[in-house]
Amino acid sequence: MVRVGTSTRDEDQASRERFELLFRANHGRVARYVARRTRPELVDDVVAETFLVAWRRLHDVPPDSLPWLLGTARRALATQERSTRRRLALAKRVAFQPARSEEQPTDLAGSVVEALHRLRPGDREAITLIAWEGLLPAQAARALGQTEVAFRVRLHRARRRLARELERDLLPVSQALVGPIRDDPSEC
Amino acid sequence: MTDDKLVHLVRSVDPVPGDTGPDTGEALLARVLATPGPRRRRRLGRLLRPRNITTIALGFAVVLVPPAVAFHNRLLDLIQGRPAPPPVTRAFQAWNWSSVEISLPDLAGLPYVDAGNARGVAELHTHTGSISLWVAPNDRGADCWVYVYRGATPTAGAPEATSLHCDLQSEFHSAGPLGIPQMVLNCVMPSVWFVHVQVRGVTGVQLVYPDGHRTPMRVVNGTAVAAFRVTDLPTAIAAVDDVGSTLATEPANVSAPLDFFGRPNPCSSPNPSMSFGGGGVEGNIDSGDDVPPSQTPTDPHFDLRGTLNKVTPTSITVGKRPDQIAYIKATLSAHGEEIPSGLESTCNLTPDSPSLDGFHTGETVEINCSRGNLTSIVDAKIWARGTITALSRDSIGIDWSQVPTGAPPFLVCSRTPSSPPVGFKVGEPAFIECEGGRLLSIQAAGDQGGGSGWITPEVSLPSTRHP
Repeated sequence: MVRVGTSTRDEDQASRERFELLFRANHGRVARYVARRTRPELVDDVVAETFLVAWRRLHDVPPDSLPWLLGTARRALATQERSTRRRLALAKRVAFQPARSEEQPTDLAGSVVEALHRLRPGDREAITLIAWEGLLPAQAARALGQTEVAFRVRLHRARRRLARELERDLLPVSQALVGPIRDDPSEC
Repeated sequence: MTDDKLVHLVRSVDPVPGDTGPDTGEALLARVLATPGPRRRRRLGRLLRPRNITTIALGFAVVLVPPAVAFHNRLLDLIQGRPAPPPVTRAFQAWNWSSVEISLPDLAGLPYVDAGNARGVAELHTHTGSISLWVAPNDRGADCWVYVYRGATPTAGAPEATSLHCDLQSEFHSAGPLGIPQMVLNCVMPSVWFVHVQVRGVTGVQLVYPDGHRTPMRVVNGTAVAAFRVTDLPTAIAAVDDVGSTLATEPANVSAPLDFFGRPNPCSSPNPSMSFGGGGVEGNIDSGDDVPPSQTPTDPHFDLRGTLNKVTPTSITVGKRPDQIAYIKATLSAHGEEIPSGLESTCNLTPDSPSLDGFHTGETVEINCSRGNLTSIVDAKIWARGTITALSRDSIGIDWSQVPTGAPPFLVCSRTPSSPPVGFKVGEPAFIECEGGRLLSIQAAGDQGGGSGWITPEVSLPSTRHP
């Protein structure tokens, strides 16, 4: 009987080609995702770790790979930060620290950064996955390992909380941009 | 609409704005592809065939240590035996130049490294560059180690020596196979540290992590070497036999080193200084006083800090102290090494030069020399923290280097009527500031070790001395 199918060598070559495509399409976005969330000297390690996991588990990476990669990077970041906090007592340094822009932030921008900083990590992640990473809610949900419905609820509440935080710091601007904000009785 | 505006607002503070243009991670891609490929999905039935049972058992053994093993196998390349290129040799020479100065004048407090016999040990590649580790024997029967950083981009410039560590002797606690582990921080790529430990009689050495997993260390000429991430610190080093049974362990004692200000990362210090501790000696080759003695300035403009060695009607000479110069020349000559130029420099006095009234030879000054002519001179400020080793009515000496057994203090400052009262005794730790060689301030210092450095003025310097 003649065995029909691809050889191991062909499989390897196909895997390499698929991974190269995946890497070239997503490396920049993964690197920026990581750079937005950790100290510069850790970025390379986390990005490398993310793509190593992707390479080893290539068969598990879905066709829409970006959410899967960001979810992996998120876990790698969490591991890095947990270890750092525990062992080096550098908690303050590894906390959410957006990289400084070349330009001086305006008052509004500064208030937005402050307001983001005050959000719960989960809320902040929900908003920034949409605003910074450009994901659709369904993609962001996959990155966080949630259902789309659950993510949409979280996003809605996160936006409310962000708007409220902005209102605290920058009432006139906040009102002009997002309109009057009422307390949501469903939240507690 | 409201949500759109909010998202737009958040997008406007994106700390890393950018599109999804071409990526630049080719080096990373190549490294990842060089590692073992994707795990194939295999059917349980096929795996459970008798001939595969042994393979499965071995697989479980490997699964216990996957991340760290992958890290080491992926990134740490052995370059054992490669002769050191000139930048590495110069880094070791710089150590000699600075150590003979620190050991002034009659005590060989620091090891002397045989720079000509430096060899490569290991190289660590990352996306931004590579760190290579080089070793050279020293005159204490042990080794000195230096890290050299090379940026990944073609415009990154020449390789840069970062930190150097010298073991003082073969250091073993007991008759066991493991010496005292030496951790060396890498200030250029601070997320990665190196550890080395002297070994005897064994070839298997492992790093032991808090969760129990282990990673192998490379054994090179009686020394085991490994790199690890600062976020994944090992707790111990184990010597193992051929079947993996532990013969001995040595605590790794890894903790974040403190800089002068007690901060956990000495790389954050704007002027990292020599630090002495454990069984070895470390220094940052590219920082301040530890660079090779400067060459004779060829630039028409130069700034120089040093001792005012000589004043004539037409020139002044500033540089290292005369006793330092004599010792450096004698020691380097004894080792057959070239005497570096620039141990002191001469600057001409012109009618436009500032007055030297009140300056005396022996004071520490900072000068600016333009086209060979003196344009400014001020008292230089220097700080030191260490143990008070000499105290008299006229002077105070701080041994910041902690070199044992009677080494002369590295920094001696005179006490003048304007100096503050000391209030400390010999043997107590203190932090002092001196200006122009005179004690300016003194305060208590903890036991965080020693250090010394210049205080750079934040404002432009006056061209005449203080009243």
